[in-house]
Amino acid sequence: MIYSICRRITGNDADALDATQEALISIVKGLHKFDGRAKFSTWAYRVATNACLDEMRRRSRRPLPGLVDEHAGDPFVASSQSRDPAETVSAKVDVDSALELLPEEFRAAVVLRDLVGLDYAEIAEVLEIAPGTVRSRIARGRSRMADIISGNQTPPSDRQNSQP
Amino acid sequence: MTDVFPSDDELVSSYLDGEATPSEIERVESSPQLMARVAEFRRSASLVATPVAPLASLDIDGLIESALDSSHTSGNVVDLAAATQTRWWHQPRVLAAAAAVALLALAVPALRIISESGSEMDSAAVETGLAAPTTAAAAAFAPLNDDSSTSAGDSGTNATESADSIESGAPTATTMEAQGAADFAHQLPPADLAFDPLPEELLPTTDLISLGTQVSSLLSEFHRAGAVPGDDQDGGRLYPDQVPPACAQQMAEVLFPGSSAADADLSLVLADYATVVVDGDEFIVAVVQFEDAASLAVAADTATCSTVELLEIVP
Repeated sequence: MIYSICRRITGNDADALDATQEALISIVKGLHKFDGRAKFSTWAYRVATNACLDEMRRRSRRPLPGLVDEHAGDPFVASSQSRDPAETVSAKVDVDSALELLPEEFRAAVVLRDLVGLDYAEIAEVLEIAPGTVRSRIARGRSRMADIISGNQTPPSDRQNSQP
Repeated sequence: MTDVFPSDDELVSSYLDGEATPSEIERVESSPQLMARVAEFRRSASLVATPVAPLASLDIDGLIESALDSSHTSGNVVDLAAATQTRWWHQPRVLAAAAAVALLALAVPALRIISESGSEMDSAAVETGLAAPTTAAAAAFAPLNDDSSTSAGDSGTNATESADSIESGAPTATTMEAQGAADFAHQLPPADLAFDPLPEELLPTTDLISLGTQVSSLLSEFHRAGAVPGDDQDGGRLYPDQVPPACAQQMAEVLFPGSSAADADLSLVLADYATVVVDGDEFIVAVVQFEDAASLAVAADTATCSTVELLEIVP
C-alpha cells in the first residue's frame, strides 16, 4: 500500500520507488517513535505521504536533462513531456496525468480517500489537518479531477452557478 | 459536465463518501443536478482507485533490505533501561531468555527431525536430538544462555505459554522447565548444520535487532539443513506474495496492536516471514525487528493464521 500511495502521489514509477524507499527507511528508523496512540497504519501512511511530498519537492528542484531551451520555465514539460498535460488527459483519461494537475495538498487527500479508503478523520490524522479541511480538499480535488476528465479546464470559481 | 456551485461540490463529495449529514443527504438526493455531479465524482474516485501495478518481489526485497540496512548502520544506541519503562512491549526481566525459549520452541523439534531423518550425528547427540555447536552458532547463542541462566524463572512464562499453543511439536512447558536455563548451552544445532558466520556486529544479543536477525538466520539455516520446506535457497522464508492474505492480516493484528485489516500489507513489508516444520506440522513465523526490541509471532494454522501466539523478545 505504501508503494501504491507513492505511485499515485508522485505519478511515476521511478519517483514512487525512491519515495517508497525513503518511507520504509523512515519507518524502520522511526519505529521507536511509534507510541501506539495512533493506529500503526495511520502513522505509517503519514510517514509515506510526507516521503512522497518530499520526493516531489526534490524532483521539482532537479535539473531536467535533455530539455531544450524553448521549454525552459514550462512546469508541464518536466513532468509529462507535453506542453499541456490537459491535452494528454483529453486524449486519454490517464489517472496520473489527471492527478498531476492537482495541487499536491489536494492530491494527497484524494489519494488517501479514494485509493486507500481512509475516512475523513483518519485522513485528518495522517495529514495533520482539521477534518473540515480534509472535506474541502477532497471536494476541490475531485472537482478538478471531474473537470479534467470532462475536458473542462475552467476553474470552478469562474463558472456560473446554475442553482436557484 | 454538471455546473454546480463550488460549495456544492463539498456537499456532493461528502455525500459520496458517506460523510454527509441526513439533511445534506436529503438535499443532494432531491437535486438531479447534484446527483449528476455525484456520478462525475464517482467516476473520478474510481479512476484514482484503479489498483497500482504491484512491485516485483525482487524490488520489494531490495527496498526492505535497504531499509533494514539503514537501521543497522545508523549507529543509534538505545538506552534499553529507559526504553523498557516506556515501550508497550517491554516486560521486565523477560530478557533474552524469552528469545532463547522461543528459539528452542522452534529449534529443538526441528533439529529432532534432522536427527530422525538420518543426519550424521553421534549417538549422544541423537539421543537428545542435538549435538555440539559450531563456533558461530555458539557465539550467537552464548549471551542468550548467560542471560537466561539468571532469569529463566521469570522469563519462561510468556514463551512457554506460546510453546504450549504449538500443539504437537514444540516442547511442553514442563519439558522446557526441566531442561533448565543452564541446559540451554547444550540446545544447539548439530555440528553438521553449517551456519554462515554471522556478522560480528550482530553477535551481541543485547541488541535485539540482532536477535531478530539471528532468529531469521536460524530459520534460514534450518531450511538449508532440510528441516523446513521450500525450494528456494533462502531458507523457509516466505516472500510477501507467498504469505496468505488472511495470515498477513492476523499477524499484523498481533504484531502491531491497534492495527486493522488495512495493515496487512505493512506487516508484509516490516516483518520477515518463514515457514517451519515441527514434528511434521507446519507453522508460519513472523519476526519484526524494532529499534530496540523484536517480536516473533508463531501461527499454527498456515492457511489463515487464526491461531497466533506472540513472543515479545525484550532486552
